[in-house]
Amino acid sequence: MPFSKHSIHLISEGNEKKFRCLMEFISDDLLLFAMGFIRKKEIAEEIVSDVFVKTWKTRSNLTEIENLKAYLFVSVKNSCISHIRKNRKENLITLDGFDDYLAPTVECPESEYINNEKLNEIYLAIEQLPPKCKLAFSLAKFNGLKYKEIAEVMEISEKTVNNHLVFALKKLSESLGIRKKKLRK
Amino acid sequence: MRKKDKLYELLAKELNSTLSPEEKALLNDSLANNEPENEQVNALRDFWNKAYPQHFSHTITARTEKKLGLTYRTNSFTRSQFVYKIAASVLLLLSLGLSGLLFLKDHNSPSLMEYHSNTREVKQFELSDGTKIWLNGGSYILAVEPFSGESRNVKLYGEAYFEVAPNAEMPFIVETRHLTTKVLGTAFNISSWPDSKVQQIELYEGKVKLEADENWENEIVLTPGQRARFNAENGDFQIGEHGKSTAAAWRNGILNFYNEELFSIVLQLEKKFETRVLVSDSEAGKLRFTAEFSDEPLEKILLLLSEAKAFKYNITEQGVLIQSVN
Repeated sequence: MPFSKHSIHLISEGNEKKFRCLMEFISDDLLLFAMGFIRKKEIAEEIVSDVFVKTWKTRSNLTEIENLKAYLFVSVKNSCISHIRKNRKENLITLDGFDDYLAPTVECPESEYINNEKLNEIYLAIEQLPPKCKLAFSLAKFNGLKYKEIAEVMEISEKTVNNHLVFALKKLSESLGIRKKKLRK
Repeated sequence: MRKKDKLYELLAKELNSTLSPEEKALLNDSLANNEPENEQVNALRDFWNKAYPQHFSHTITARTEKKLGLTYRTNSFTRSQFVYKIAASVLLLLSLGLSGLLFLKDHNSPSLMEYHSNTREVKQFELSDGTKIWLNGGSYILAVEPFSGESRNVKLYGEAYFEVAPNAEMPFIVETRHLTTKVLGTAFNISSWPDSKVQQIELYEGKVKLEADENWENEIVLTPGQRARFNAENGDFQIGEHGKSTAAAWRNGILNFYNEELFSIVLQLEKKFETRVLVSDSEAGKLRFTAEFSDEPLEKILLLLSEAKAFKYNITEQGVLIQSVN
């Protein structure tokens, strides 16, 4: 596993092959995450790549990082936010970058419980979630992060992560329920 | 309402794969007593477990290794190339739908092509529209061919010389970092190395238009004999004469510099000789040279350059260190 202690140790000693494995394993997720902040794929790619460059250059410190995955997400987040800051003409906006996060669009095979219409309902409901709630949900669902990792990336407590996810699931479920009621009328 | 929150808390844990067996039993209980929620919960489960975001093909690994100078091997390229091909065909299928399926039966189906050269190797390719491309060592070009739509688009990483087949209806567009180069029919050289801030375009024939990306909204038109340098950090174009009679002499293994700074010369030496060359101060780095080399070894080139304008250099196993004499 690319995030095992052993692999990280090898990377910290300069093992290029392990480093490539790590990049290939996690870059899709980091790109998706970055694209939620920076809509342009080209720029998001560059940001993720620069984070890897920095990670490699400071590899000797890697073994001291508690959770490398969360660390990479945090680095990508910080780079995205500073990119957004730099490119906003008005510097006075205090921005933590979360207010404008865009969840990725999804594709889903139809099943007994879900079809294209329902998928659309869910997607609309995600878009209407409060910004931080949307980000927490997106990190859990689309990037597969655990509560602890989400907490680290968003700089909030695990309890708050839990609250965000409960709120999100309730809202999504409601959006599905409302539709059902409408149909019954 | 509280009970409902508990249910969603358990569901969230289940989806996040952190549900304990006891909690699992609890969740099943509350679902059993909660008929109307069941359908929604199952829809959410299906959504969570089966809905995946669109996959974007990207070149993050390759470009990171290139920036770090780790790519002096081919297998990483071929591996990511393989991934591209899968990703590209999936995307094509999705975006073209039925017409895509019909297309695929045809031999002319559009597919993502990657052209790539190893270090120390110059390769020549001909694209489906007749455009000729020479790739300098360690460069690559991506294109979806055959070209369709309003323009012929390719992406370039590294350095290439183009002889574009004329087609007034379909301009030829080269995308590099923060810059697009639009042409009709023409011959030009683009050097856009990931490790250099400055990209350089030299025009030999015809006309090209350079457009910086929307961060800068800056554009210029080049005429033959001109060279443009684009700095992605401030969005500035610098136009001068390239002063070269032979187009892209690197195709024949020749290095030629016309009034070029040592900073940019060493980047080309690094590529040609696969070594690190470090210029330790900008006094040396800003020295300008006009010179041409073909088969000379690195030692000879450094000696000749340092005789023309003085600088100190030191060749070790790790690479070359260049310093000003003062």
